[in-house]
Amino acid sequence: MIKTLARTIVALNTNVRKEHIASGFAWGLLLALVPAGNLVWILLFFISFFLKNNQAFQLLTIALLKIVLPLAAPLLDELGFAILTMGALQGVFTALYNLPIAPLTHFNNTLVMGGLAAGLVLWLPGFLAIRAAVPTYRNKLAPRIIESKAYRAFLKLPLVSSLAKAIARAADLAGAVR
Amino acid sequence: MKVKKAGTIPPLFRKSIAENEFEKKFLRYIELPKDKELLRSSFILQDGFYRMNDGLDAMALKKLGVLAKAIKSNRGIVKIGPLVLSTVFAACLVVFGLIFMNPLLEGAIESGLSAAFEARVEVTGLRFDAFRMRIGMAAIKVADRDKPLTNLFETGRIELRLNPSAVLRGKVYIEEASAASVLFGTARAVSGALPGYQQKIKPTKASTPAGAPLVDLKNFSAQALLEREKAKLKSNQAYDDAAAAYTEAATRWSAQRESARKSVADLKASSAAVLSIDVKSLKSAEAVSAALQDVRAAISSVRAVGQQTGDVVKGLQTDVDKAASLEKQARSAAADDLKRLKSYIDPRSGAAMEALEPSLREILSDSAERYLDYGARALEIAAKMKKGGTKDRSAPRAVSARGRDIRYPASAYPAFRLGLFGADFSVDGTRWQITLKELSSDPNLVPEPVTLAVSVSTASREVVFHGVADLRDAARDLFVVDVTGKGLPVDLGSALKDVGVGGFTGTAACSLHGSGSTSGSVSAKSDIHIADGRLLEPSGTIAQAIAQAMESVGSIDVGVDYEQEGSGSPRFAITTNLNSLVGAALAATADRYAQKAEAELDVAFRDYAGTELEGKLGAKDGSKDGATTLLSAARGDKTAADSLGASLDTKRAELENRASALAKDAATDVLKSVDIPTLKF
Repeated sequence: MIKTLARTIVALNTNVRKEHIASGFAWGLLLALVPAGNLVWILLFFISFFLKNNQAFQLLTIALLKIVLPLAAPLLDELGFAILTMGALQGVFTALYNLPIAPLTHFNNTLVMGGLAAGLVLWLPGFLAIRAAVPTYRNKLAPRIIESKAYRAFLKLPLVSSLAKAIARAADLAGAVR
Repeated sequence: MKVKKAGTIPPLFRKSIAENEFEKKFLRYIELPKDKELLRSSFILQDGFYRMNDGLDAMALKKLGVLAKAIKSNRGIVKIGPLVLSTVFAACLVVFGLIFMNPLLEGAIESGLSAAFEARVEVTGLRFDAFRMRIGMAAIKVADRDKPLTNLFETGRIELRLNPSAVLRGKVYIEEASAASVLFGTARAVSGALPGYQQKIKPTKASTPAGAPLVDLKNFSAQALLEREKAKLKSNQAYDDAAAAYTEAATRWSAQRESARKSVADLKASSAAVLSIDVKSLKSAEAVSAALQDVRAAISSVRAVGQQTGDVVKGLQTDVDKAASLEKQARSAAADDLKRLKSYIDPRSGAAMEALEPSLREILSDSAERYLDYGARALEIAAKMKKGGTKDRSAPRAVSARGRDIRYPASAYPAFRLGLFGADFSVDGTRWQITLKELSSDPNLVPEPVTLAVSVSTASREVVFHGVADLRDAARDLFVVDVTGKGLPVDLGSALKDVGVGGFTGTAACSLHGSGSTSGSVSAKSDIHIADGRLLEPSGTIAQAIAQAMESVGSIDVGVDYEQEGSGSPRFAITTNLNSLVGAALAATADRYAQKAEAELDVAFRDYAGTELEGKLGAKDGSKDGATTLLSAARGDKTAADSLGASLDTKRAELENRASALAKDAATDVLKSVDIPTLKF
């Protein structure tokens, strides 16, 4: 977890493309909202795995959202139920249900459908928001943080110092030490 | 990532870069302004091309090396590394599957079947051929939930052919299955009970009353028959009830009657003074008035006591009437008992059938129960599969961690379907042929009902079973069963010893048709024809007569009718040609023996009724006499109270007359003493 966090901080403070970071976040959001253990999740994971999005950001997003997701489960369940029982879509879902492979996606599960729908809807806004936020951080927030006394004092804390070392190691490995 | 060696130009920047490409393919992929500036300042624009500045120091070249890596990694959309990695991963998965898939499938099948049968299931030697969609298993053992040390069934080698199209839809459709052998009820070394599943406790059979005896007329003893049957006679209990009613009446009213008697006696004593008043001796109005008051007080007390004695008489009379009614019923029961005992010695009365029916019923129901158990378990499992396979789309809306599965009409495949299962094998010279068709988790999606055909045959006997269970929603009949059998050996062992028959053997041919509706009613009708029937060690006239009749006729026909409506108690009726056989066999000798035996029985029973039964009513304490005596005494109390009341009423009338006379005299005296002035004209 610390390594993932370190790689995330490195990505934010080096030349990693903001689109890659934003894409990592958006895919992480989608993969966190869809319950694992079905063909939909596996498919989404493989797609994200082959794309050039930031894996560290994706993993961190999944890990953080999975902690708070049970709070959103009733909402996702309701959303999934509403979609799956929508009159106009019954024909489509029935046909899908009878297709080969499709039932293995568990699309007929309320949490899978609710999570998928919410994830797809939130993918683009999430991507755009992070894409806009990364330059703001890099150009305005990061220099201020680095120069602040609080940050320097913070760096001296034992846990943070080990984290900083991990970041340095990660950065070394990435060959991106400034 | 390795850092570039200091002092060398990164390969990416060694060639000249066109001016328009420098922005698009290099600067664009650098995010930090500072690094952008560094890159720009490291190149010189000459003739429309960017070339590396020659005067760069080692540190600048090192930084450019890092930037070159960043540019490379920021280019493009797809990553090649993970693609290679995932190919390796997929290969690993295939290898893992080849090594571990069979044990994993074995475990999955075991847990699935365990959930269905609610008992331990052991699958051994599973081999899955993914390309041909075939599964082979060395054996399956399914324990019996209700008898954990017995297997419900155990199979030999099993081969399954799966439908690939269904598998791709996440369904299990076994198009064809075959088993080398199927054995039922084999013993287990380890208990097959699973935690969480309770054994189904069978209700204990209610003990049925023993049937009538088969009487030996030649050596008939009326007293012996009476003694043997005494406990079963209804009159015995009826007389006990009547005696108890009399006793209860006497006990209940005894204290109240005593209290009433005492009240009457006290009243008599207290009223004696009032009744002895000589009315004529009373000369003054005051004396009469005082006497009158005393009489009126006594009358009031007498009325209260009269009410008390009346209540005792009324209540006691009601209880005695009730006991008398029970006594009447007891006498009627005694007459019935005598009639019933006489029927035992009349071979044409149906006593033979009455004697044999409980034993026959026990034998038939015991043997039928074993097979009904299998049938009931099969229906239970089929119904359970149906329940699990067709979850309602409007499932409860409680949110679980796994969400809810919405089911859509699946026109093609139910979640589980067994198209055809066949087994044809021989065990100890007996050939078994089993065919099971269309067992599924959603019968509505299958065009046919579940069909089970079993044939068990040897050289000399054969049983053929054909059952259809229709679990589809539109079905009217839940199941229909037809069984035929021939050459079946019958040996009742010592089942009939209570009725004086040592054993029974024969060869049976039978047919059974049973059906059950979705409303829960079950009916079955069976005809059994027993040839070469032989009674062993028959004792008594009738048993011997049956034995002789069997030898002459050679066959017995038994008809069994079974009906059960919903949860009501079942109706079980047996008809045979036994009675007509016995009647015919005893036609010549029965009357002679029966007449004599009847007379003897008449005498013995009357003696028994006169002494033992009537004696119950004649016992001293709390007997009929006690109750009736108490009633007479209570009536005497009432009469005494009424008589006393009448005497007091007479005395009161006398006193009132005396008072009236005294008042009249007093008025005359007053008038006389008045000096009426004489008027002079």
